[in-house]
Amino acid sequence: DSLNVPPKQVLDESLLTKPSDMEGFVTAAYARMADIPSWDSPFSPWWTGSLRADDSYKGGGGTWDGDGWHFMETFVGVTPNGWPLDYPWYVSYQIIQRCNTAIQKLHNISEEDFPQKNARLGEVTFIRTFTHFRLKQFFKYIPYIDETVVGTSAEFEAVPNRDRDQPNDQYLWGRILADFKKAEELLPAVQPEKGRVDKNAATAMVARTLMFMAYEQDDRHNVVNINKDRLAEALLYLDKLTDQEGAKVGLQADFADNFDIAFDNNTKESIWEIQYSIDDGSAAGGKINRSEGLNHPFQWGGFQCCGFHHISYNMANAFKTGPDGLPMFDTYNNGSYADGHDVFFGKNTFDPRFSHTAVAPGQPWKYRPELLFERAGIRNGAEYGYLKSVKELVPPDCNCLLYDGWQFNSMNKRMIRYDEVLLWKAEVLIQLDRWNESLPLINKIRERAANSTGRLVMADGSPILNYRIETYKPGINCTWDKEFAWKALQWENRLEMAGEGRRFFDLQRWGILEKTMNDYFAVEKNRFSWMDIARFTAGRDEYFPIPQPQMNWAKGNYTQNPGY
Amino acid sequence: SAAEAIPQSVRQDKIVQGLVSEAGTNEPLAGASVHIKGTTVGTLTNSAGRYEISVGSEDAVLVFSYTGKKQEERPVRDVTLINVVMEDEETMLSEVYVGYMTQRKADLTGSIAIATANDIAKNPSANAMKSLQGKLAGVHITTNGGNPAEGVNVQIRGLSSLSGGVRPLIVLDGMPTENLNLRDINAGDIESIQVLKDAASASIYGARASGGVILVQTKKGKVGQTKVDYNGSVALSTVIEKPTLMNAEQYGVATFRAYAYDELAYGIPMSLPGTYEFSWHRNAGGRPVLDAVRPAEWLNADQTVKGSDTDWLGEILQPAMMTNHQVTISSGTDRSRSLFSLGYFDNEGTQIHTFFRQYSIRTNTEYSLINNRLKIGENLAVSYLQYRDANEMRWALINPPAVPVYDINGGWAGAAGFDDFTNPVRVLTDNKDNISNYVKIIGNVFMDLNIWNGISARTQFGIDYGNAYSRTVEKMWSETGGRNSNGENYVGNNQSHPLSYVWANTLSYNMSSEKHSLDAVAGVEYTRFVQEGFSARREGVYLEDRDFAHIGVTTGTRYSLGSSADEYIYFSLFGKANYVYDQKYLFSATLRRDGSSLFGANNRFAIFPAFSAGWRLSNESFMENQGFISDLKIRAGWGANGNVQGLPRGYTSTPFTTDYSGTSYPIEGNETGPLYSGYRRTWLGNPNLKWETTTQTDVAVDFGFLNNRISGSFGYYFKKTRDVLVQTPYIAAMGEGGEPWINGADMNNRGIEFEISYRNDPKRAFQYGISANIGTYKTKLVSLPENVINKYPGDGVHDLVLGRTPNILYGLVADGIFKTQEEVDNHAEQPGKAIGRIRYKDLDGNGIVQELHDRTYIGITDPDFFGGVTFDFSYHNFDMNVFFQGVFGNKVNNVWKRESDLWNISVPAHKNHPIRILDAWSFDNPTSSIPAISNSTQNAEHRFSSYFVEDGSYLKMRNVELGYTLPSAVSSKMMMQHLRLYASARNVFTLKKWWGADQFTSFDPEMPGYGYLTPFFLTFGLNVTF
Repeated sequence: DSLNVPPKQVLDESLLTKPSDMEGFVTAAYARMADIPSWDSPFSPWWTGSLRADDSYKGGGGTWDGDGWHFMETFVGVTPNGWPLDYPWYVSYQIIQRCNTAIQKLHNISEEDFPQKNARLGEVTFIRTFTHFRLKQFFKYIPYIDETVVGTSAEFEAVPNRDRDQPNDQYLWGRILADFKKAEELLPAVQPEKGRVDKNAATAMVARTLMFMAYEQDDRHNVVNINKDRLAEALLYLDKLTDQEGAKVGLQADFADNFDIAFDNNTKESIWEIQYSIDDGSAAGGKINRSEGLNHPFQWGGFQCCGFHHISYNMANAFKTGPDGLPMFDTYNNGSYADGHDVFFGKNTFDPRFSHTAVAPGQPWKYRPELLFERAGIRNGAEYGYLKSVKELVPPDCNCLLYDGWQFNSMNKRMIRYDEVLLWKAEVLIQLDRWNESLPLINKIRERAANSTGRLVMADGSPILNYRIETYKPGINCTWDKEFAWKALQWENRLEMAGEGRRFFDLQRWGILEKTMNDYFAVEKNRFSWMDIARFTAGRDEYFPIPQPQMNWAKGNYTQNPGY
Repeated sequence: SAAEAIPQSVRQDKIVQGLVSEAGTNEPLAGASVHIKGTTVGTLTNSAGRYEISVGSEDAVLVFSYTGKKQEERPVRDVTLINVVMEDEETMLSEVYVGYMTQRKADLTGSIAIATANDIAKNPSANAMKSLQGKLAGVHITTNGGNPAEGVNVQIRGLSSLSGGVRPLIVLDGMPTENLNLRDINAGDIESIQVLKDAASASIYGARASGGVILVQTKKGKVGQTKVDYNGSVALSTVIEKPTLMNAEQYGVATFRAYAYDELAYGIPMSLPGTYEFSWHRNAGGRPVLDAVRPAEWLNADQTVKGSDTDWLGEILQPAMMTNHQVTISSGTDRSRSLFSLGYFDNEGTQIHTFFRQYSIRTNTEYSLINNRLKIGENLAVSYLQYRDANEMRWALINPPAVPVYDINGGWAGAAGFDDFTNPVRVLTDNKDNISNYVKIIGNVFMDLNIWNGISARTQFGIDYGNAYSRTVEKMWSETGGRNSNGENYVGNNQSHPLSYVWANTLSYNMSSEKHSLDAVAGVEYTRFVQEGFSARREGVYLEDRDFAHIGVTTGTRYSLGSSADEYIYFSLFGKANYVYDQKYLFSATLRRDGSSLFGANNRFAIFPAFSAGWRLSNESFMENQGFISDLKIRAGWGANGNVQGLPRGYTSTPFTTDYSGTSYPIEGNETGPLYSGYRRTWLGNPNLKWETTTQTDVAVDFGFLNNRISGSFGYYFKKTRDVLVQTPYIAAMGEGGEPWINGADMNNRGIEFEISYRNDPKRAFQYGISANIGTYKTKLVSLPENVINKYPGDGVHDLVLGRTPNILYGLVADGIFKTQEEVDNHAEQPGKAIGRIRYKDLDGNGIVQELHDRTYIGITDPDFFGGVTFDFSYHNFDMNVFFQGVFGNKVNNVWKRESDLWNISVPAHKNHPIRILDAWSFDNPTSSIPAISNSTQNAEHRFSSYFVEDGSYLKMRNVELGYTLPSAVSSKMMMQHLRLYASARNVFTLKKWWGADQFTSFDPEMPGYGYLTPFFLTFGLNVTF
């Protein structure tokens, strides 16, 4: 047929069936997971988990700048039509589709022809399940799409986000759990290539899923039961990880290593990292982390955008320590940085993790004593304060920086760390009434924090701040009962993971969002007037609304979350 | 002399002489052709209109011809003096090219708009279609304003596709082109443009014709004396219609008002910015009152950026020159005709360092052999375009006036202390040499054989080749106090090569007897289009000098590559027949069958039929003996044609693609260096994919009264488009590449077109004429696939776009400004509401203003009608032309109003605004309709609402031209046959709606926003014929 002109620059599906073609489907799944071409990524932790909690403020030019996030941090005006919810939803299902395509193709290949078959199946099953897990944390009820869903859009529209025959969301957790367990079985303990997911990542996610599953919620998101069987099972998986503690798995001596690009793929603390690279021949400039494109300040010429993500004054206060070196559980939020830089830093002592988390004007940038951060580097201090979040950022002369109108860096994103795992284990032990066993775990975290001051110095070698931190010593500086252990665990969690996008989901799991956030707003609105309207509505704001476009396309098959 | 040209066979025994003059004016005609019928013997009249010719036989017949005049024949017999008065060619008798054949205008049964070289020359532009804006009824031409790169958008009879506007098919000298922008060819080479608007006319072009067809005929050599024409003009352009922006002090006043208002309305404490020095106090009522304000002396801590008063718009605008030179040399005998032209067009933009230049050359020849039975010829044009197509209007409009262009050391200044701005002078200057180059080669060769008795065959092979090329040196830069290039520079190369070739073979038959006349043509046409493009960009060039900075000498690690490719084929069969009975009854039928590689595997061939008929009442006997009606014709047509422009390549199968940026991953954990890449699904295939089909019914009356001094046409059309291509959005759960294209939607267009012109008595010394045209269209979406409805304005549930035009605006309804606290309190819940803020209607009455439930349809951007009016005057040697163009009844989303009326709505903060914002609501100005200046966005006024919807009607005086032609006695002494001098002014003024609630508040309704402002031109030019 002379009228048959093949399209250009594309591959026909029928050509891609050989064992050697399989890696391409798997790599494409990894690629989409990492290459979410905007900061409205489902893996972008700072807006999903930090600014919606008491950790962070949005920052940027003003309340109108990225207004969808402003609505999220005040819990006012979040609507099913609002930016930026539909995009993360859509991107998530792109990742899931690439994984399912890889699984479908891998099923047609024998292990004999393709020895890596099980490892690759494990990898894409993990990535798919992690994506479902993340969506579940955002939206509670989601359509669970695995490789058996095939066909036209009608087949996909027919998968509801909520099975109306089920009393609650436990069935969705169940599917996530089963898939993580499947991935754990398939994945090898060691992967020759550093960028691949391995068994420990899946083990951690099985435990994490069981923990979320254990805090059972009712229809209005109240935690109505803590299922100890789930927690006991989680402990088995957490033990698998802590049993490995040693040369390969464990805490780094210095907390700073977790936020230093020089330690990408090079810490025993990191259990899974999303890989980023730069100068790799990509037209976009690199396989770069696009989720933090707005978070760099304006200084040194190296940073040109856009001053988002500031540490909240409440969060900063939480790092204050008392004369006993412990958090000031009850009085921490009296006063704030707004009282004056010298007043704030002069009259308080701090947990060293403050300086790993935030930088204030006049303090060194990111372990570089010669680079003092300036007040002029803050874009809008009047509305968002002067404490810049730094964990996700790099030095301004790093060759890992890319500027193309927004500012990106190629530091890997540590998705699961061993310090978190220790804190999960402590949490499980307390809930299983074994709080005494949680004490050494929490203290191990605090000891490491206490020892992480080596890089927190001014040019003259003096410490940046007056650091003081102690471990919990029952009978000496505390009474280690269940109630106290639980409070200590919650605080430790917040301090260790500050600004890293975990806080909202911890509060969600524990069922204390409403109290925590409204208490936070009650004080914070006196510090920033835009907080005046902020109000957390229980039974609604624990989850995002299902994006309206998806509601429409599902033609009645999706159920909107309550309150929206 | 002419005598030397006489062949030996002709006896030189008789001299005939005489005077050739023009009817009406009785002016002698210089350069008129006089030749002996059936021979190549001929001469031209001299500058006094006189001729002399030797005639071999008394049986000879002299033929007199002159461009634009009716050809006259006179038998010699026994006379020796033959004076001829030549009349204007009666337009109804002239031949019109209608695609693969010509037809007498009187016999047309379709709707064809015709423009001549004169229409183009009267509003000169690099793009002939821009010149014709407002001159063709029903042809809606929109432009990119004053950008010298002259992009235009042409829409004929409304929108008939949803996959982007359907561009009309351009047919150049009989060759349907796949890749021609009329900007690419010299507008001065165009002899005429015919626009086929109705389906019956256009369907001879089948699958590509539903957007209408534009037939462009270039100038050819004519029989007659060798002629040299020179047209030259020089124009000065400057932007007149522009916003008046605040100066540094006014900006400071507005800034203060924002803080003062926010304290009163929202209780936000005054915390004035450090970029200005304010002195103020509180009045007795406690309200802040400004005493004086000026920019801070230094805007940055280093004290290198001085607080200034910069007119940013003035910094990027310049008065500019437009220069045009064209030389055309043509000659022709009975055996050969030729034309050669050279053109140079240079339009400096009114923004600094923008320009468009075109160098062009055209040559064509035609030879008549074997007793006029065989014609062979060629037509070739080469153009070279250079342009810098940049527009920095946005930064120039919003940069704070306190920021200077330069720092104190002469370096570029950035917006120190203000938010995140870019220096537009720096951007335009640094990139001034990064120009785009384009070479176009277009032409054809043909052979036309008159076989026997009205049967003739023609073969024509044409090519259309483009070569787009650019090299960009991205310099290192730094704006003091602002952004910088991070110490990186780049060289980028970009090229693309589209090529199409068309081979058409036709067989025609002409027959006419006393009562019957039949013209028919049948043919076959093969078209192939191929395109490949390549781009590369690499960091690190040692010297930014253009002589050095080529991509091969870059040394950096950052690079990127890109490519593009396309190919498709058409194979078409077609036929058309026109039959006229007794000059009264006209019939025409067309059939085209297109095969194309663009169609899905299951739909390779498309058939497009059309029929039309006309009745010339004025030729009926019952119409005789009345003097009023000189011409009257009723005509009607029906036809089908197609559109393929939205057809995506290869969407008929399901392919995967390697897309390095999107499918690669550092699987080995590497920080840099090449990555392994996989593949992703690109789309879902649809082998049933096919063209969009438009069927169109057309009814019209053409009329001429009072010896055709009043003439015109009135028509109605109804278009129905089926199988409209839509890419179906789909549920996200399906993942990526799930969007198949389908032929799923239906839409209708209907409208009328009316043209009328009047000329006064041609015997008068004072001549004048008026011609006017208007066109309308109404577009309606009839059906859409369920998943697609949400792509169009509406809420997808109650408010559906079906039954409406897709060009519709949907948003909240702004209901004035809250003038008192009582009004605020009594209004529905509206987050952020306050005195001085916009009130929105709570349409569903649930007591809360929500975007989800309170939006409605608030305006249609389609005009009620559009058109133009031309006035022509001449008196002795003076001529004058005045042309108005207008669009009426359309609503526009005045995007500029977001900037002009709202202080702080989007990134970056601290934008400058026009002085209009100083009239905003305040306690001292409580009746204003502009919301109070505020830093807060709590009322979310940037949401799309009727506040931004304004009437977009305008009437523009596009051109006024005054010309003077030297008397031929004078010009002949200067060795010229003809010399005309003229001066013209373009874009003289704009009338817009200045009253009522929907008045247009911005500067140019044609270009609200950040478009390249349309300048005023003052032109001086001359036309000379040697």
